[in-house]
Amino acid sequence: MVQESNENLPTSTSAITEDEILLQDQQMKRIEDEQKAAPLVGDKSPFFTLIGYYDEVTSPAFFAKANELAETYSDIRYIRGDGNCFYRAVLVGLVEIMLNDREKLLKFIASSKEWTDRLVKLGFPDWTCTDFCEYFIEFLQKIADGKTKNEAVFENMNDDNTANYLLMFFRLITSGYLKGNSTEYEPFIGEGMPLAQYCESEIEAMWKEADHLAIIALVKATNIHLRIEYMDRSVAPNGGWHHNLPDGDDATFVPDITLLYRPGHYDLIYKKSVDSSG
Amino acid sequence: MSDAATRRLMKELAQLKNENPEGLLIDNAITSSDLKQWKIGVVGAEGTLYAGEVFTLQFTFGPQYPFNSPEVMFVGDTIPAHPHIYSNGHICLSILSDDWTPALSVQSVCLSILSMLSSSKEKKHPMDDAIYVRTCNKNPSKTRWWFHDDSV
Repeated sequence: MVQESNENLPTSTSAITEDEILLQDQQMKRIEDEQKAAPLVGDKSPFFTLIGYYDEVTSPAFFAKANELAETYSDIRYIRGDGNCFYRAVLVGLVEIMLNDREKLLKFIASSKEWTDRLVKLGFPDWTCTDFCEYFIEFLQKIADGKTKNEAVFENMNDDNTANYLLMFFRLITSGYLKGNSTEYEPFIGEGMPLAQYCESEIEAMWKEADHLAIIALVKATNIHLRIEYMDRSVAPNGGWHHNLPDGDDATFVPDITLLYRPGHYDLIYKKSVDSSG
Repeated sequence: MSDAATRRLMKELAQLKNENPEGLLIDNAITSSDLKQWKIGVVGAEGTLYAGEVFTLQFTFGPQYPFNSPEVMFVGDTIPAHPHIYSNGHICLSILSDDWTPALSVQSVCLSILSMLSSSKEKKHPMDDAIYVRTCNKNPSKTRWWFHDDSV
């Protein structure tokens, strides 16, 4: 049934004219074009390029923070801001680790296979979900077999069609982790929304940004140590400048992947190696 | 069509032919050579208002399928009269817009529509049919739907 915002009025969307729809479409298209001007996954750039985004006078806090982070981090890989950035950043971070560590690669292939079975047992639509899993496993297997070289791996991750399949695997295991631990996580979902519905509309749907629950779930599902550095302390969940997931003491926590959070967006960042930090 | 979308659609078609779900006429399914558009027959279930009636569903897939929802509508001479189906074939069903996820498929959409037909208590189009049909966009995915009644 089609209705306007007043649910008692049985009228259709006739209030929205073709012109208005056209205008909205044009606006959407412009935003999309702006997004698409940036690659899905940028090359590694020097971290100081971030400082250039902020003006010392008009945004002194971010300017100072960027400078401070530049003392610890040497590089940044910009990720496109299309609602998939968190999942994409973790995907790229993990793939980079696996390209350099065959043992971790083989381990992750094995755990991805386990996830395929787990998702089916959790009641995910059988063949569509296993299709995404198989695509992801095949992508990793080709790396393991030496059929896809490093350069091609990044080409794959920068190709929308391939990348969407890979991201979907991450969205599915994020959702699967929450569904498999629903008693623990259901209380954190607002407005009494059932967990399954939250997972389907917020996690399994493409281009939906990851919230804190999704972040925890993907970290647990992939068994990684993740650090998130915040440009703005007010949004860090623990009130600090960074957050370790799963919770860990700074002194002992060794992150596999580090992300930089700027309001509404995640990029991948890399710590200076001991040698270069002097 | 992108390679990934074509690959997925070929798999879906093979799956449908293999499973041949009750109420769907897969043998008569017509697919365009690029797989971009499919027509699938659906048969009203026994014991429902539409028992034995045959309707045609048309699926149109974009290059971003399955990450974007397909465009789905009834076509042909007989459009089912149903409180969520307009006389121009447009269907008001949340999984076709807001609630679409890439884990859904042609088959799950067809089955949802069949179940929507089965639970109908009266054969009539929505109250705002006349005005909607006159003013809506040709593409149902351009319609802003309000879903407020899941009972039919």
